[in-house]
Amino acid sequence: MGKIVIEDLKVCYDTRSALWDICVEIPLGKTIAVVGPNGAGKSTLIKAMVGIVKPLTGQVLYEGKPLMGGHAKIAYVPQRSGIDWDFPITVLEVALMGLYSKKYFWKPISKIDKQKAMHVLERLGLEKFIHRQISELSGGQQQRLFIARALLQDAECYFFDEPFSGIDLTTEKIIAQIFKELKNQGKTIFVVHHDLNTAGEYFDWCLLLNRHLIAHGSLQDVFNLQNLERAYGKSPQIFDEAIRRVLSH
Amino acid sequence: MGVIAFVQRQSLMGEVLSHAAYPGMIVGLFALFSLGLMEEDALVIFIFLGAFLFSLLGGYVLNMIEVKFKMNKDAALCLVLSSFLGIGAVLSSRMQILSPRAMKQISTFLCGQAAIMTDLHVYLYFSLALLISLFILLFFRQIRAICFDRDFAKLKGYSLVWIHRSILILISLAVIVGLQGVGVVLMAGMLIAPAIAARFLTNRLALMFPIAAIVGALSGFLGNVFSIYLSDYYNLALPTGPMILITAALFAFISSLSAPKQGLIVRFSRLMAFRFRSLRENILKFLWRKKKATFSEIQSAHHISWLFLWSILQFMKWRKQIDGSYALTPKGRQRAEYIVRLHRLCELYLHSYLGMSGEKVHLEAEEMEHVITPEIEEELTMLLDNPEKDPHNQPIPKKRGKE
Repeated sequence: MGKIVIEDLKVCYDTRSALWDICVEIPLGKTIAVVGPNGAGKSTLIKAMVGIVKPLTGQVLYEGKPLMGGHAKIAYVPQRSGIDWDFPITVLEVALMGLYSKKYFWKPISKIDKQKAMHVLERLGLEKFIHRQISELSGGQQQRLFIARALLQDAECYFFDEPFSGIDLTTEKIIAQIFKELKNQGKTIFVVHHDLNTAGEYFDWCLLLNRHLIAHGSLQDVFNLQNLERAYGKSPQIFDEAIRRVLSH
Repeated sequence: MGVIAFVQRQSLMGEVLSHAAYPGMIVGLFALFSLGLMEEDALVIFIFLGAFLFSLLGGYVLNMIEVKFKMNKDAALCLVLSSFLGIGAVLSSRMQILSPRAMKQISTFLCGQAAIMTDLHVYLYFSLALLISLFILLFFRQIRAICFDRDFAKLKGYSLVWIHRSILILISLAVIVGLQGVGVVLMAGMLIAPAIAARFLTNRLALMFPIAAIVGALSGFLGNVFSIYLSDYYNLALPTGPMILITAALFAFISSLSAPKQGLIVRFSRLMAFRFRSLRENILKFLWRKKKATFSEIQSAHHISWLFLWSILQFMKWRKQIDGSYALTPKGRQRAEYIVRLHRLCELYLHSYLGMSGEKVHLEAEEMEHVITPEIEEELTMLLDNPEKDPHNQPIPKKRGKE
């Protein structure tokens, strides 16, 4: 079975280090939670992995080949706060962006492509809004739209940056369902996640970060008091709940 | 090109580029003198070249200050803009001595003068417009992806640097070409105003480009026309450039008023339509109660001018709700009963569910009856268990089929 290898990854912003000496092997086909306290470099890690942020040293190998920008096999869903929602673009147009090919960028969108996009939008409950400007969607709908675009890219490896922050219950359920489907199709999913208590519901693997990689492995192995204290500092009553939930899954 | 600058939130870019172009023109002149050429066409070309190179330099310096020195965008813009203008001013004092005639021509660029355009200019403009359209058509998706979501474009492997450079080059070209018409000071507005107008009228980037182009062309044309006619009329010499800009700004303003969803005109007309409908419904009720009424009776009951009332009654006749002698037709009666039904349902609801007193509910219901949709009416009917009497013991008219 293939794997993703992160070799000696270091990322700096200006002179401040964001990530230091990340070395890890991750088996493919897992749903992986990237957890850690604020400022631990969770988003930075996945941005560096997909090639949005340039690392100082190190590389990421996907089945032995470097994983970098332009890789057809990866799709990335940005944080909602990073998007200019006033941009003049409609829901359908955003979704169709996922289908543009790099090589034939002038090729018109075919009917089949459009149907594909409609199908995915329907699955995410957005079919009624296709001609709306994106700022006219609710927060949860906006999140779903960007997931739709990623799904249309038909990647092997998906990266989500905090998909569960600030969304409604419907959206949470839909996203959880999508994760399940992707896992069943054998895709690898990386998710930046900050809610320790719900981690057990959605994920089976975990990278615990605080600048350094503190622990990695299956969720049951990573979620113990010692690891969590090293990442977050001492506040045991929170961890008890999280550990109990993980073990119950 | 203004559209691109606008959606990238770099509206002041044009300002920097146009100011940076100013010393460029003068440097162009210096070069011209050192080569010893003095023909009119060579003059134009050298001025263009100098302006182009310098505005590129301005854009480059701006970018460098922002990225390398992490300076705030606004501060960087101001700094670059004013220092380039300063350089221009210093150089121009030297030029003044060398050749007052050429300097005079340069100074027209500060405020713009469309009247001195030659055939050469026209060819230049035309080929530039063609170039820009081609660029946008070919790379539309990349441009949109980059402006909207840089990270996504990066992941797709679009060559960000290359496209950014082309955008900068094309914006500079557009700015310089515009300089002749509206001048250094006003160019930024000319770049952005059509884009703003277009943004209000559409939610799609693909449509923004042609709309902005049309607005730009129209304001160029109208600005010229205004400037000529008003100058004649008032016996003044109104400058063309500012006139064009004012026209473009006017377009932006008008389109902000008439924007399809949030524009003032639309909101106002929606409000008027509602008032109009409420009044019609009130008249229907009035006629339903009175059975028959004269024009003056209706007028005194509703306190409106006779002309307005007359036109409303004409409208109701046209809808076949009343006949020539202001009596309700069967259709009008049905509508009137439906409104009375809504009114009394509302009264009953307010009385029995919100515990309002019998006197007060009438006024509230008077407002509510106009906004109740058929769905709410059904809900109310169910909630109140299909009642027959309102709180004042008046019968609630039965519902009768669809209107």
